Amino acid sequence: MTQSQTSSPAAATPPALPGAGSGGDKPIIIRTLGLCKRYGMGEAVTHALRSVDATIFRGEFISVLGPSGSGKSTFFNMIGALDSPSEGRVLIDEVDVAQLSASELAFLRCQKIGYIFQSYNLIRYMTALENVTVPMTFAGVKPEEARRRGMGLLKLVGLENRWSHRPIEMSGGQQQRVAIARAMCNEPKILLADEPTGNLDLKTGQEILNIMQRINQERGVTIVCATHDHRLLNICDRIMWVRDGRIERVEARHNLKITIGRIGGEE
Amino acid sequence: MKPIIVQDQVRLGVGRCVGLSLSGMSYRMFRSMITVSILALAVAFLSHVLCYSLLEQSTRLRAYEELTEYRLVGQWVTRLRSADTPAQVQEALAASDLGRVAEYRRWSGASAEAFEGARETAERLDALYAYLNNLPLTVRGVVLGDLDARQILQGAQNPGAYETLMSKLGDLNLRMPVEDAGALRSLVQESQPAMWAMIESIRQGHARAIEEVRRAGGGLDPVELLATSPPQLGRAIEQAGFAIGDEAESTLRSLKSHAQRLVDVQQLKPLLETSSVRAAMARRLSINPREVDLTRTINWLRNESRAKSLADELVKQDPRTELSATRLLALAESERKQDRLESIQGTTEPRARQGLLDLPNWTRWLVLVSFLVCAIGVINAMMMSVTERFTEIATMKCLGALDGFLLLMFFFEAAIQGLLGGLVGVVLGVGLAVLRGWITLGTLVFPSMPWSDVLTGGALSVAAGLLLGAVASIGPAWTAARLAPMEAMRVD
Repeated sequence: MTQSQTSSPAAATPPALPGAGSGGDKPIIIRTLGLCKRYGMGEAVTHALRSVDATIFRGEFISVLGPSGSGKSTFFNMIGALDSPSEGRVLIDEVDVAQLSASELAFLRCQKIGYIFQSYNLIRYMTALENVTVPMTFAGVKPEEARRRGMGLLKLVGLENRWSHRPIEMSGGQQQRVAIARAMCNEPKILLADEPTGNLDLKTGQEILNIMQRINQERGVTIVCATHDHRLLNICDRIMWVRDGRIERVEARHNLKITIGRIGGEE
Repeated sequence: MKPIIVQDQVRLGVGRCVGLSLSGMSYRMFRSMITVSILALAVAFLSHVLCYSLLEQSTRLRAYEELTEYRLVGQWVTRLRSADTPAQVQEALAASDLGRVAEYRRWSGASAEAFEGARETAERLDALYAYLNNLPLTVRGVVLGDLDARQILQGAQNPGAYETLMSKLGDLNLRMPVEDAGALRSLVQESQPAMWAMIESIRQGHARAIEEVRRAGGGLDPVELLATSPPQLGRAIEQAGFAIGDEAESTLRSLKSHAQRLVDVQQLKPLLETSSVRAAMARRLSINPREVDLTRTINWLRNESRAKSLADELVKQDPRTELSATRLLALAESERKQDRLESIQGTTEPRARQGLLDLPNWTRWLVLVSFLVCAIGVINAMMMSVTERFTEIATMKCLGALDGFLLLMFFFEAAIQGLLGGLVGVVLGVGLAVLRGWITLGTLVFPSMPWSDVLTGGALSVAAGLLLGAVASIGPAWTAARLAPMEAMRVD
């Protein structure tokens, strides 16, 4: 067991945080320092992220807003340790992700972070319950225990009756709920959602948002949600606007003036 | 709240891996079946080529062996009918054919010294024949003219002819492979006549031996004698001076069975060529009687009812005819078998028993090419089935799968598919090879089946399929597993 609690020297002086007013007193869970990501080579190089310094507090619900191609998905992948940055660092609980071994990364993804994707990414050949129990299998939970916990989670998302259905036999909303149950199965500290409502209609999207809100409030899970969906603004604690690979602004929700059809300065 | 503590991920057992592989395969049954089919096809092709060539080879060898037995009967019949020709005797003496030399020594009635001298002369003359026959074509024409080496040297017993031959050789600056001129002259003009005299006495001895055997056999023709094979025949043959070998009993038994066939052929063939048979056949085949020949008749005699109808008609025409349907049919079948054996054996004499790794060159090429085709097919199928699952690999990684676990999972899938495809393919390939062999080579395939080679070939094909499948799927799976999850997802 490698316990990596040492904070990096650069983390000693965290940069000034815009919009930190609401959560300044809370402990930090994710921090990025000068995060850059470039795709491609030479002339065709794309700068997806240009030196992003972001801070996410423990237990908060933060929305990352931005138009397509603004780099929010890239940002999401970076803080989820799903992709490696070109430059800069990602610190999850003050542990530099780049310094973790493959096995430790797997542990982090399996036990400490839950992921929800726009396209659900369920495994096609598994039933709902099997999909939910996969991360528990990877975590070494015994099959009976995994099934018991899996059924509990399906109940939480209201799918206990569909446990034996395969993804192809379920609607998008149902698939996304299975994905949430899967993300939650090892009781992660962080839930990362990449456009969770992007492929869903309004009503189903609302159900997903309600579930996420409940998880945030009842279990104290930190949720980072990249989204287009303005309804998220009603439930999140802070909003981060991303544009051209940079953080444009970060605002606590109660500081925003919400108007019909227009929220803050966005769009 | 407790801080996040990062530790090593749990390692999972092989069982979980196999379970996941199996459930994945059963869900993608159709895709898996296609992959397995491609594998099976490739392995079937490979094992078919391998197996068929092994089968063909051993069947040809078998046919050759059976034909050799037929030939042996012919040889014995000839030797029991008439004495060997002088050239045959001389050749056997020169080649030191042990069995023959012993026979000839007995028949010659000469002293051991004289016989040994003649044998030596035969050997030395044989060297001269070889020398003359191996001269360059134009030179040979000048020296030999229309004659062959044996005749020229026989003629050189006459001093005049000897001088002519020597002057020709001298003009061409050629020299016989003998120590000196005196030795050559004494060989050709003194030893040679003695040798021919000895050969003549050997032939007379042979003729006497034939007469003895005939008397012992009650005056029967050698073929019939061998076919009936009376109990004292072996002893009579041996007493007459023939070398029948150590296994006289079994030799006689195999000679007997083949000789019976020869008797039938000798008796029935002329009968089948009579005008009455031709007319009967012409009516049945509705062709001109002149076009009826033995081959047609034998080919027509395929079942009992046909044989019976022909035999009945012939007996009705001439009640003295000793003919039965079974004999006719047996004759036709044995003739057909002989033909088939000859066609299987092919024009060239098959090499002695060949193993799996000693295939003829063209077969080796065929196997190599079919292996390449097999490899490309399998690699393509496997790579496709892995590449289309990059998203799944990425998702698994997001959920905390270790690289090794993913690799193991794909390895098992490839191994199971490879094994399944390989087994199906081998059964298919070997089955088809046997079937093809049966059709093209006849039932002779079954007794001459080289089981151990076929099984080894089959096992090799399965192993090749398995290995290719594993390597082909491990490659891309390794690439995918090593990528960061999101990079793997982007590959799509």
